[in-house]
Amino acid sequence: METGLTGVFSMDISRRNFLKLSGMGGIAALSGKSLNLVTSNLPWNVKKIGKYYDDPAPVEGVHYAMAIDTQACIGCRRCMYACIKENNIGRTSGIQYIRLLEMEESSFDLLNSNQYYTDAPKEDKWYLPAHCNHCDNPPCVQACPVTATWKEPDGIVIVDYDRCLGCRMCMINCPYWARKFNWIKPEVPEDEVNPEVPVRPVGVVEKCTFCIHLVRKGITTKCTEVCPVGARKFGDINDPDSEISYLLRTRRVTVLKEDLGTIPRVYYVG
Amino acid sequence: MFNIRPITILGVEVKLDMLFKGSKQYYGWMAILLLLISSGFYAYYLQLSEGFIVTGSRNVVSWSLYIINFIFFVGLAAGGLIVASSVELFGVKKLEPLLKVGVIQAFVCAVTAMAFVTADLGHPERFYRFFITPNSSSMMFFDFMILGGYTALSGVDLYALLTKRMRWLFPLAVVSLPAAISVHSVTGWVFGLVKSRPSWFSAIMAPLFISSAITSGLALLIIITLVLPKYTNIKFRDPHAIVMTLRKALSIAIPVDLFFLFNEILITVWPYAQKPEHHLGIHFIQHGPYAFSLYGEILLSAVIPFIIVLHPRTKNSIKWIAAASVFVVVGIFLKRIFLIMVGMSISPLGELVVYIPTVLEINVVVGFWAMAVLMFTVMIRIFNMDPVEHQVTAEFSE
Repeated sequence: METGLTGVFSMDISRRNFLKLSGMGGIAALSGKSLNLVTSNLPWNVKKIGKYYDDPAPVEGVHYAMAIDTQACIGCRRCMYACIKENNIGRTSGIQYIRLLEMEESSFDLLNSNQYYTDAPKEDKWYLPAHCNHCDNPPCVQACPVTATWKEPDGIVIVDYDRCLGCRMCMINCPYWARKFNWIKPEVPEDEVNPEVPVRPVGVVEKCTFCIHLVRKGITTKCTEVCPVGARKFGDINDPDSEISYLLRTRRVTVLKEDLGTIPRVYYVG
Repeated sequence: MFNIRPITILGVEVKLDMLFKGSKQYYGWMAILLLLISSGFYAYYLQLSEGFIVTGSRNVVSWSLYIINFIFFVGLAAGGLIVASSVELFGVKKLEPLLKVGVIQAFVCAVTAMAFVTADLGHPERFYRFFITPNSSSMMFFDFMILGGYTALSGVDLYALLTKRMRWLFPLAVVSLPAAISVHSVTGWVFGLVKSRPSWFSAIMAPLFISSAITSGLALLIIITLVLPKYTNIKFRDPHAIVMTLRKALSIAIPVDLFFLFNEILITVWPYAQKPEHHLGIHFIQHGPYAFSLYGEILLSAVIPFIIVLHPRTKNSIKWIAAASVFVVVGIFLKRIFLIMVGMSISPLGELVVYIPTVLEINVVVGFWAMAVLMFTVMIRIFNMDPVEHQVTAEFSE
């Protein structure tokens, strides 16, 4: 009589293969990704609270990315200032999502960069805007002890300000220094508050959201909009006809610290 | 003055009356401690209400004095239980009088370490998130869990000692030794797994943390062994033998600690091994404002005490060993400063930042230190500190 059980046993799994399989399972269990699955599948973790990011909801099948033309960038910092206003960053907090790095000629060495230059552009320098890379393998998300930060389906890495403990583990694990802490209660002049973006409480970590409130409505990010030389291109890399896909196909691009394996989604076109 | 009698909770005799009996010295001591604690907690309240702007940390150096103290106290905690459990496991009969003291040291230091890491949180009231939305790929999560478990374990250990449940001691020691090692390994991995800070991203981190923990834990035990008989009515039958046994352990722990540090520094300075960011970290420490931490640590926690514990003229002198122990504890604290600052001072975008703690921040730290000392003082007064007499169960007992 062929029962289900004997069917299972008649499967051709030799002892050797079985050991191989279980060994692989063990390795998978030890690797970071599947470890993460253990807790991310807990019932209370499956639906993120996402109070700040449910409306507008992510568009299905979209994966946002940005390309920055470092040949065009003149280091004027207009993106940085526009970003502060757009995202209700505290005016006295000393935080910027975007940092402009003045780079030495013929060098990509971040250690030689200068973030405190006072006039630009200079003949013998080039400029590198640095902000959150919205990595596909984000160390900050993996390092957060309380799952207060995660990657949305459209590729945007966000922080839930109601969950954040303020332990700053993510800041330390970010190789791009993209995350900033609210050391002081953010002060935004009342007539300048952007109603679409929450003003953060003191003591939480915040970062670039790719202007999530705009891009999910089909508007481009603020920094892309204000760039006087059009050095930034923002779009959906899953759409072959988008400007950014065309750039990535036709131009040679680089990303910051590719050797760390974070798979950044901000590309630099040189 | 008050009519307070000893009470018994769960079979543990708690001599509450001892809190109010004592010399003027004792009352003065407690008054100073309480004053420091209340000023520390007021400073902590200011930090909570004003934000971390009142501390010296900023976006580049975002972990600072609290984390330095956190890893320092985790180290002392691990050291205490390692010694206490080795009495059972390796049958070091001479250290038996230290069982209770070692366990109390572990418990107090673990609680203080948790206080320090809580002081570093922007929103400590969201602590419950560790239980409802844990993230098991975060080493910080494991650090909290294991530190909590470790505190509970040292509490159970103390309970077993106070209620004379001798049968518990061996199984507890079997668990506590690996727990003590792992609590500090995990703390080391919080730093050792950070690939964005090249000076931390090193496999030697956890071993280095453990060797420092054992060294400072042993030194603190020597200090406690020598201080307690002077100021309390706790007497050890043969303090000289205890100190000499601890000295032997120290003479092994110090060179191991130095060797691990040497490994860490070697790969940053050897001509064809150094990577720019990694080298810059050490270079900044060597020539920057934190130079005292690197050189002070090498001298105080390694070179000077190592000479003292080995030199035939000093190694049998209690005074010299006491001095060496103080040097080790101070030196290991400097080492914690070095370990944090070497990774923290350079932002991943190549910016060098000098961190200077504020008075308020130091006030919080002093308050928490006073809290640790107060906890220790209270515990050795209210509990029955008579030495535990029992047959060591380990096979290789003397």
